[in-house]
Amino acid sequence: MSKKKLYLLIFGTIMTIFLVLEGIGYYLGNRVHTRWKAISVEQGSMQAEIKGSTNSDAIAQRKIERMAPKGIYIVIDSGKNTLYLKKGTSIRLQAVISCGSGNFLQEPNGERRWVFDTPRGVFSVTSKLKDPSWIKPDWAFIEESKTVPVNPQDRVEEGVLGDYALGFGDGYFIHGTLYTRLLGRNVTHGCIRVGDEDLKKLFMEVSIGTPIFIY
Amino acid sequence: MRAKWIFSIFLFLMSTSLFWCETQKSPERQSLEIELSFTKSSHLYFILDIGERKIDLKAKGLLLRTWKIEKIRLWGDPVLQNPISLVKKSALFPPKREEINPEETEKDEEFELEALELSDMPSSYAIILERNISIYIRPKSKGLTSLLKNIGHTLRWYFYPSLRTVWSKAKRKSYTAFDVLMENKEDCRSFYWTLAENSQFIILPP
Repeated sequence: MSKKKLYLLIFGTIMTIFLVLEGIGYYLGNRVHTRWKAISVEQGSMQAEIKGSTNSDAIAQRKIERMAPKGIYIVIDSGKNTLYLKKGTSIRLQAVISCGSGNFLQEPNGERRWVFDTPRGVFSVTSKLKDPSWIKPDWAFIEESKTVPVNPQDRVEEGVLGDYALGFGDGYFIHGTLYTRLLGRNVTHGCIRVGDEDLKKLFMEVSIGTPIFIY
Repeated sequence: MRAKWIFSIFLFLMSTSLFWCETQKSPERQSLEIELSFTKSSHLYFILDIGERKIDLKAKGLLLRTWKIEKIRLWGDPVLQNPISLVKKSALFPPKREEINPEETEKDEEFELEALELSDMPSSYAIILERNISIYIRPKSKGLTSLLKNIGHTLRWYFYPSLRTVWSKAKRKSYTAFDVLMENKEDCRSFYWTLAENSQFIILPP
């Protein structure tokens, strides 16, 4: 057999095997819709035979709806840098904010690493502060190549957090900012910065325990 | 005596069949029960509703955001068990975090913004969930480049999952793939942004 014919034979064999596998895979994989519906119908009809099964679904649905907050709550869209103060489905306040930058800082000659993300999940207002002072954490000094102070008083910085601050746990706050031109951008170290006017309205409306949803 | 035995056996069979029926919950009931358990935690969770063509982001039963699905294709084995955790996000050009260099921060007199933002997120990517479930996300075609990309993806959709299905069956594992087409790039990016490590999914059947 000449080389050309041999190569053609090998190529033809590989293509045949490939097409057979594709055919089998296509047959097995493409029936998902029908199989899914068949299983759902089968399980649904078995369940309908048990008295009160549709009532249980409605009860479960109502229980889920009851878990949603009744009063005011805060929703933060960290991607769009927008804060909503809501009650039910109505929006009482919409504010442009700044959320975490997503950058990270590695401690030189050390093991500690900080990732500056705004946390996601469900939180609640744990503290309300007027004229808050910033107690600078270690990373704030390391970031500027400064020595971390031993004396706690050397960590205090006044006037950088605005007029109000709302704490929601683990050292994260919703607070004011000097850098209002950067509102709408992801520039913070995890906290949420709000403009002065919006922050004041927010501070007046919320109370300790107000739920905060961040995504 | 004989009648008593027959009656006892009959009662036993009835109770076991009822028990079996009760454990064979419909996907809808199962999903509601799982969602109810999620409402007691402080985690965000996603509901992929294939029938309604949407993905909901919820927390404590509260709907936070909805992404509409223009078109969805299914492949492989049905998803019968929920919830499902996110294993990883996979993109050709994933966004990278910038490292803050303290020496540069000290020297810089002008502030330069280097941050991970929504516009840095990819618009076409795959999310890999537990139990060999893959969800391919891409935007609707707008312009020649995205049209060519989508044609390439469609060709790939008909070749790769077939081989993957055969491979998974040979290894006695399930394999499921979803091809999700969203309305625009912004939706795809915001969905990528919202996905966090160990995000939980509930997949509702068609």
